[in-house]
Amino acid sequence: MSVLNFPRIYLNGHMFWNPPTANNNDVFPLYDAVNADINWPFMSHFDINATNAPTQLMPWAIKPLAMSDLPTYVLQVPTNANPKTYPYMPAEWDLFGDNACGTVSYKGTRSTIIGGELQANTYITEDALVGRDYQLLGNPFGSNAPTAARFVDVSPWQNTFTALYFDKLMLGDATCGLTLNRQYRMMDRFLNFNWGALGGLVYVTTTWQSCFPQENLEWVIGDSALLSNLQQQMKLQGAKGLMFRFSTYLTCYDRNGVFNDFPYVNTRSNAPTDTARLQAMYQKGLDNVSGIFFNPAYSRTAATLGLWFADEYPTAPAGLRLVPVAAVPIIQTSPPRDVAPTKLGVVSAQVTGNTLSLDLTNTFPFYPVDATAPILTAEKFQAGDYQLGVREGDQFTSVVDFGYEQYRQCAFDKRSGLLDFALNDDNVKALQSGTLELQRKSPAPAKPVTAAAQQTWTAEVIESGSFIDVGDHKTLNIMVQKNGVPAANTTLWVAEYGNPYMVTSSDYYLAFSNAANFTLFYDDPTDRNFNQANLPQFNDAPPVSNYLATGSGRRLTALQNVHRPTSTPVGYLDFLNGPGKPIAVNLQPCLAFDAGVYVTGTLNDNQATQVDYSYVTTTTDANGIAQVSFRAVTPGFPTLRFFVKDGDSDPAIPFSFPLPQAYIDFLTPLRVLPLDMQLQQDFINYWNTVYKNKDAATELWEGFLYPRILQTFYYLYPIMNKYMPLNSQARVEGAIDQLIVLISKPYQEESTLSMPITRDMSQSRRAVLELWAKKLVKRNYPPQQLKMSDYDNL
Amino acid sequence: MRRAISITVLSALAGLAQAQNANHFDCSNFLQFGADINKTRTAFAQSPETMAWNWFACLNQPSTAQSSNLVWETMKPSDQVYLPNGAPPGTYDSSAPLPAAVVTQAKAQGMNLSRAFHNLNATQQVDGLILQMGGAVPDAQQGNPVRFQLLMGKDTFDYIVKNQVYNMNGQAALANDLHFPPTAWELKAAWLWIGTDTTYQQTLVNDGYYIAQAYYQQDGKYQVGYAALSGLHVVNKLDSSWVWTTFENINNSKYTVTNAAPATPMTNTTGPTPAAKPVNASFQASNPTLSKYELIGVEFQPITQVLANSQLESAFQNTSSCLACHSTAAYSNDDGYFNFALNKGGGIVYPTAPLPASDFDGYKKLDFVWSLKRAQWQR
Repeated sequence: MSVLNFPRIYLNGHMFWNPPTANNNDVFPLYDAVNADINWPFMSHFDINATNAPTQLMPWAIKPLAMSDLPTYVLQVPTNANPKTYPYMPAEWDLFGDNACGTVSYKGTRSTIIGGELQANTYITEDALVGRDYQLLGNPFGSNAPTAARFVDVSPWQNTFTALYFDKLMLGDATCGLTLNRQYRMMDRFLNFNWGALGGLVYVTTTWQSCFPQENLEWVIGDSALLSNLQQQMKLQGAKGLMFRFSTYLTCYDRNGVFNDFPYVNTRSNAPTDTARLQAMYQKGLDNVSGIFFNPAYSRTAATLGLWFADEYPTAPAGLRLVPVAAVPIIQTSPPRDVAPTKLGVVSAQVTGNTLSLDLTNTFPFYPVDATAPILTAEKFQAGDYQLGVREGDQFTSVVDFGYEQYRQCAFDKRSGLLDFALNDDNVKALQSGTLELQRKSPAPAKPVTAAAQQTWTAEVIESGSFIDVGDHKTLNIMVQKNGVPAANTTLWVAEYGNPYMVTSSDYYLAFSNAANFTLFYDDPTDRNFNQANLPQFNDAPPVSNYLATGSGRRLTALQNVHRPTSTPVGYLDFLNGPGKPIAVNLQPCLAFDAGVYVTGTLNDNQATQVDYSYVTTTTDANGIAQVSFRAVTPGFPTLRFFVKDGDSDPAIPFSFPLPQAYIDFLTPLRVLPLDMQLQQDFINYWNTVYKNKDAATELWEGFLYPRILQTFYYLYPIMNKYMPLNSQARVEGAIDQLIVLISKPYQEESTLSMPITRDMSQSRRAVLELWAKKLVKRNYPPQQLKMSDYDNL
Repeated sequence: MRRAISITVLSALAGLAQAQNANHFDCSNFLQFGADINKTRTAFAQSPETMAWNWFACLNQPSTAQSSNLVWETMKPSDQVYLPNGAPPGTYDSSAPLPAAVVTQAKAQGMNLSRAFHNLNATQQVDGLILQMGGAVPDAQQGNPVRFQLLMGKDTFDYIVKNQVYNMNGQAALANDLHFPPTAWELKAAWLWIGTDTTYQQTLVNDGYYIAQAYYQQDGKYQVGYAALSGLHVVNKLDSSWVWTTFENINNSKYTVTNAAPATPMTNTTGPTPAAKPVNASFQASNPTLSKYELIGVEFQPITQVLANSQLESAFQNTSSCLACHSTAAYSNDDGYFNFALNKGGGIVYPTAPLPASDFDGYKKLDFVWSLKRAQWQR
């Protein structure tokens, strides 16, 4: 079923991404995201502290730093010591970003509905809906006009980290179109960093999906047969609603003047003239809001709107899924370039009646045809010809064939990466006789290469990307499928993982509660560009190759496996509690599972390190849905990984696994926000000492609210200067009605207006702000004492 | 639909007819609605837009034959009503002395100390945002906010003093809702800050802006200079839901910009209403000093409607209704002032029709007068 079913509507265009980059730095730990605070220990290296920050911090943030300016621990983190990176500006490439995202319709560049199919191979381009724009939109802010959708890195240091918040998806307009009101926000899926090895982040692709129940749809069919048919078929086929799936790829930077009217900047250049110009422009924006500019990233996008049926994951492709097995040779023809063999991405497959449909959205790698063009265009690597069939034991039976013409870029663009085959009855029967396999044909006598094979199990968490406060109890629903259908009565093991550094995207380590001092990385003081992560495993577990990454995030250029190095091992505890403290993240558990199983494992390192960890088991119901419950105990960014118990033997929980593997694992990132009851008490105490004073309001602001709560966000989200300068008592108080609504807990969960500050705000900070706003500002600071119980009546 | 069109057309025609008599309006005692308020009500009912323009013209006459101040410039600024520490204000006619630093700067700049100096002490609109100056303004003013002030008439002031609601103690002690007299007036003015740039000032004069002397305090320092009137709300209680009129300069889009990125010229998306357009043409022709100002519209009925001044409700024009928003003026000892930022669909909107009475359980209604929010507690 899903968008692989019919009918379908195809959409194509560009997307923009406008993140505030100073608080999401790939290289420098400026922001202590665990505690949602400026990383003052790191800043102390530069003699910047909370006292002198008002005059020192932002000038520092927009000034490029040389490698020699940095503390050693920053360069020790694997991937952080590439000399080509420096000098590097802490503010990075989009200081004033506002977290907005959406499709681009700017001058001649449009994001539009391009066609549709009522059934296989009946492509329709003549329709009233075709040619109209589509857009993801956010919640209204004081106007009937919608705002932008927003995205946020829920868990900034791992793979599946980006959540896309939106209020509605709008196709067409008031005369012909469809408005789909949000039920589920999105998380990026299948983000395949391995393709970064082809030449950088521009080669990396991701998949997004959201589903909309029937009651969330507003139809204006007009003269559109595509819309009319979609509505009819949704009802006739008993669909739950509609599914919107899209991929984003060919992400590029510094495209001001091409996709927008902002002045061009070159943030990739280390040339002094370029960095000086950028620094001056940032300073101008900091000095005056009229100087604020954005420098968004842009991606190509291809999307499909189709049917959503019961039992299908709302936010990830369900059904049969093939994952890569062996690398295949790929060829770049225009311009010619030698490229190493690489693994394909993920394939989704579905047989509907006598039609086999494949989702190749994120399967075949691509390259920019002209890397210097203002607007990049893609072409797929020539990755050979393929046969898809079934495997039964040693026997592979081919069912359908396809070649480059069917997966090259023009075919991809036409059907958003979907590919359909007509089957006869024997084909259908054959496909049901075993597991699917995708083989790359090879000229005899060479054997075909198994490029991808069916993944028996898949598991997806509906509430992935949730925010939880320390002390809160949370239950997640996990949908489990076996060979593409809901898996009833299936047992899962669930374990918590963390990432060890507050910069870059790093590998995953099991959360543990004892003082286990395993080797975290190997340090080469002679050239830290060769520092490598260590990925120890439990005894009897299969070894995992260490790999050398070049760059990370936007700077990612290569990943390659390497042999165990000869450089100096650095222990996790030694780094965490020693010099690396300002950049290391504690791998202690953030969550306490209900009915957790507490065990000790032994690592296969020289010290036979003991590791105390926990996991929990859970079993799916008749609908293939399991639940896992836990209480948040420590702030951080836990990632839950799910292991299916297949057969009698228990699944193995690895101690660590590498980042490049994560895109096909069953992971759910969470964010546990800190709770600080003392902060709440301190606020009460502070007010109760000044409440009679003539300038009580200003004393409270200057002595508590700004330094203890808002100062961090003032520095990290300079776009707020345009709307609500967080260092201005008058401006914040003057918008108190709006602030009360926007910092409310429900808005944090789903509203796009919660951006940018409050999604990072702990419950305690929120409680203090709410008490201040509702009981003091809204009442003009009555000369009356507050008490802790006042927090209960907000 | 048919009925609505008819009303609109009739209203426009009525306005045109009334506008032809515009110059015959008697400004004497107009703040009291003349000798017979019912006659004013009758005339208002015939053409609200004409009456709005008549008031606007009267307000913009010299306050006396010898005065360099306009009538409305002699009204009581709110900062002289709601005093620090909740102190009682002086009399309506007593003006607070200018801060010494302002006097010093004004003298140095050769300004007229016998003329009014407006304290432009506010920059935020009710949606919490500022309106940025931009476009043709000089570099020194790019990105700076349009500035605002609140003024009130004598009967408004007297009622506030009589009921002792000039401070929070008085408002907290309220036993009943407030009911201002029919002759209560309030004004809210929007200003483009000029400072001392004479070239820019002349540009604005050429574009028909009224220029006044003004000051404001920022970071503990006084800025003293000239400002240009870009918008003016004029409201009174001729009707029980008050009468809401708003004017602005037709050239505002040259000097103010939206929050869009990059910024675009700020325009009014709510008017002038069809009924206001012919009245504007008539009064602009017969009032040369006001020829670049236009009436955007008039509200007085408690119905769903939208009306905004691009200078005062800039970013939320399509959910702005003066009457509806001010009808939420209310105070509760437990919850403070009523929050009119409505939580809707995960976003924020503002009321465009009066909210149900049940929304105000536990509140004392303040009779549309939101300026009372500026009151302070006695400490």
